[in-house]
Amino acid sequence: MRDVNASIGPGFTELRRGVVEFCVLALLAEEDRYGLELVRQLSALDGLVTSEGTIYPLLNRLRDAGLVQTHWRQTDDGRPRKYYEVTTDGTTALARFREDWIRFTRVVNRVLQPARGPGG
Amino acid sequence: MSTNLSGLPEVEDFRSRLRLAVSSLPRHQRDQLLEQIDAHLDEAVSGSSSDVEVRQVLDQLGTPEAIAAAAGSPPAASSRPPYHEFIALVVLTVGSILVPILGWVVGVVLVWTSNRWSLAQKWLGTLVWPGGLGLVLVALLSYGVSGSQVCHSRPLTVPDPSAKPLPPSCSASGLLGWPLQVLAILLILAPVAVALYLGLRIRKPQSV
Repeated sequence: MRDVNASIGPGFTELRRGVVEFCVLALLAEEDRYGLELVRQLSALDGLVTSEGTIYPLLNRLRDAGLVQTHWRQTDDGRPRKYYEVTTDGTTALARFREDWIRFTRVVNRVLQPARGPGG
Repeated sequence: MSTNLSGLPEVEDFRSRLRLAVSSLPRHQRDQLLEQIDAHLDEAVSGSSSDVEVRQVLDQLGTPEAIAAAAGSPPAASSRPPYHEFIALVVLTVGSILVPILGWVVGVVLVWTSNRWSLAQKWLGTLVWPGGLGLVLVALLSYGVSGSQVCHSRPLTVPDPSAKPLPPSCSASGLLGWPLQVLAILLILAPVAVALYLGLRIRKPQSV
């Protein structure tokens, strides 16, 4: 796996850490997912997570905060599998973040690309 | 849970490293995390996985230490400075002089509530000496004043009336005789030495 931290400074690491949890909520808002499934989807997104294992503590924090909950489902071969789903609070938090994020990135993009001029 | 994986040494090694790395987390968090990683490995690795596949799964998970750190488990090297232990030792020595007996009791309580000393070290701190340095000093001072300073006045019948009255002679040189002086120094130095020893032997916090 590419080391994201090596190419981008520590400030970005902080930023990424704050954003990843909402990406988790967004993926779970699409549909309930089990651990490995969710983790693989996140790590397929380039540069979003440094290592798959660190997603589990993050999931637990979301669960402790009441934004995510879990339930057990049987697999086809009868094994129990823990699924993660977004709670109502999680959906609300995600919606709020989505608005803030879009506004935020629009502003940041404008600052970072001054050459394009107004409206660009 | 992990029945199909026992026997893969790399996976077992990963698991034991993880268990060690998360040992300082609260039990609830620790159990949850270990269960999740177990489930992850169970799903990602099967009996038919090749060595390369197993290694790749483990690489992508990250190091056990990084996972533990993400869960808030402090790395062993940068654990909390031993404030508690430092205060315990100061109270045990200096505190017992400032507030005799009570200062020592507080020091002993602090020593026993620490999770960074062994049982034997705690007993050592308690038994050298009961009452602490303060009590030793009080005992020595009171002994020095009343006990050893045995002074004899000269007989009142003086043969030569013109001679000046002689000062009383004391049997001990100074306050104490030399064997007592050595003993006194040992009594004072022992708790100081024990405090220094305990200060050097502060280890990583242990779960009690």
